[in-house]
Amino acid sequence: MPDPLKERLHGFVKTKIRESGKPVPPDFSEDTPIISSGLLESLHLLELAVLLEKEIGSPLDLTALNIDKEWDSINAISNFVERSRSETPHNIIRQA
Amino acid sequence: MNYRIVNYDPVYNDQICELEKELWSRDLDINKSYLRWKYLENPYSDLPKLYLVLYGEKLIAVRGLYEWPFGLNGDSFPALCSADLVIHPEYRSKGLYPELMDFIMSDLHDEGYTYLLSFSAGPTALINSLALGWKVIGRMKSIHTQFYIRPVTKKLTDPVTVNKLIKRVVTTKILRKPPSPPRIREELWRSTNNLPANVEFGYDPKPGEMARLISGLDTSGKVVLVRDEKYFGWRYRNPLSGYFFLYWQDTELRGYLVAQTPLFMAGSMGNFNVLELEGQSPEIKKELMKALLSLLDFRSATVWSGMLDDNVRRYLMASGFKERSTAKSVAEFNETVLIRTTDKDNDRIEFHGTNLLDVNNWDFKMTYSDFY
Repeated sequence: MPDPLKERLHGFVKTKIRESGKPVPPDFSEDTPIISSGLLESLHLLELAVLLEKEIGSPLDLTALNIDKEWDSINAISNFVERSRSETPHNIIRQA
Repeated sequence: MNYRIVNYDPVYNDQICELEKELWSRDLDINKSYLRWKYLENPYSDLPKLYLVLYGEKLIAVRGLYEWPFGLNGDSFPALCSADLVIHPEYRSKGLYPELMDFIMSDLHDEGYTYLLSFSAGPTALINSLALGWKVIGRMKSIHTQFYIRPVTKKLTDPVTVNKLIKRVVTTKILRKPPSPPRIREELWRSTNNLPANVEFGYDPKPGEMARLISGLDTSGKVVLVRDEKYFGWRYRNPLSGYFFLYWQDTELRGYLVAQTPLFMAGSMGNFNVLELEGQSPEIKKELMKALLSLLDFRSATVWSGMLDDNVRRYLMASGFKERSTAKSVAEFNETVLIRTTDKDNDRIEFHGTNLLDVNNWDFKMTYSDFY
C-alpha cells in the first residue's frame, strides 16, 4: 500500500526540481540524494522545511536538526517526520 | 556555468556596493562607507574577508565574514562572523551557494581559522546554512515596547505632551512616515534635561573608559566578545545606524548603555535597540534603563532578554515591555545564532573543553549582531 507521506514528498520534490528547470532523473527513487546532489535548490529548502512543520504539526527544533543527513532523500525525510511526530514536545528551541 | 570564486579585490568595490543594495542601503555612497567601515577598517583583521563570485568580470555573488575575537576565562579565539550574502537574482538556484561555501571553508581552514558564527541569517539563509553543516546555538528572545509612554498621570495633563503624542501617532502610525535621523537626534538632545545627575548622554563612545569598565566585570565563565578599546573605537561608527550612549559615572565610569536605531530601514526607524547594558551593579543598570525610558517618549525599544539581570527585566516588564512571541515556524524571522567549524574531520565545537553549542555557555549581547 502506498505511503501517503512519501507520496506527498515525491510530489513536492519532483515539482520543485521541474520548477528549477531541471529534468527529474529517470531513475529517481526514494533513496536518491536530493540535497547533496543539488537536485533541490536552496530556495526550495525553506519550502520543504515549512511542509515538514505542517506534517509534524509543530515548529522544527532547529537545535537538533541535521538537515544534510536527515533530509537528503525521501526515505530519510520520511523517517525524520515519523521520528519527530513520536517525540514530544517538538517545539523546544534553545533560547537566550 | 563558467564562473570563478576569488578573494576580495578593491577593483570590485563598486560592484560589491551595487549588489549589496539588496541588504545595505539603496545609496551607493553610503554602501561604500559601510564596506569601508565593516571590512577595511575592522581593527581585528588585516585583510578583508570578502569572497566574490565572478562571471567574466561581472560580480554575481558576495559573501562577507568579519573578524571578532571571543574570549573565555582570559583566553581568546578569533571567530569570523558570516554576513552580507547576496547572489544576483539571475544566478540564484544554480548551486552557487554550496560551492561558494565549500571554497570559503577550505580557504579559511588553510588560514588557520576554526570557528564561524552567524548572527543575522534570515529564514532562507538559516535553513540553507543548516543544510551545509551549521549548528544552531540558540534563538534570541527579546522584550519590546511598542510605544513607550511615561506615567499617564504626568503626561496627559500636559498639553505639549498630548500634542506631541498625537503628532507622532499621525506621522508614524497613520502616515507611516518615520522621523528623519537629524530630527530624532534633535528631539533626543532636548529630552536629556530630565536625566538623573549621574547619567550623561552622548553621541560618541568613550573607548578607553568603556574598555576599562568591561575588563573589570565578572564574565562568570561565559564566552563573550572581547570588547577592548579598539572595539569601542570602531564598532559604533557603522554608517547604517545611529547610536547614542548613556554613561553612569561619579568619580569614574561605572556603567553604560548603548542604543541604536537603523537609519535606512524605513520600517524600523525610530525603534531603539539596546545593544549593550553594562554596569558594576544591577542598580546602575536599572538606572540606565530608567534614563533610557525617560528619553524614549512614545518611541519603541527592543532588548534581548538574555542581556538583562532579573531586577532590570522585572522593571521593564512593569514599565510596559512585553515578550516578543517566539517564531511559530522556521519561515518567520527570529534572530538565531549559528556556529560551525572549518574542520571537516572534526565536528566537535568546543573551546578549551567548553561546549560552544550550549547557549548557556555564552553571554550574548545585541551588539554582536551586524544587524545593528
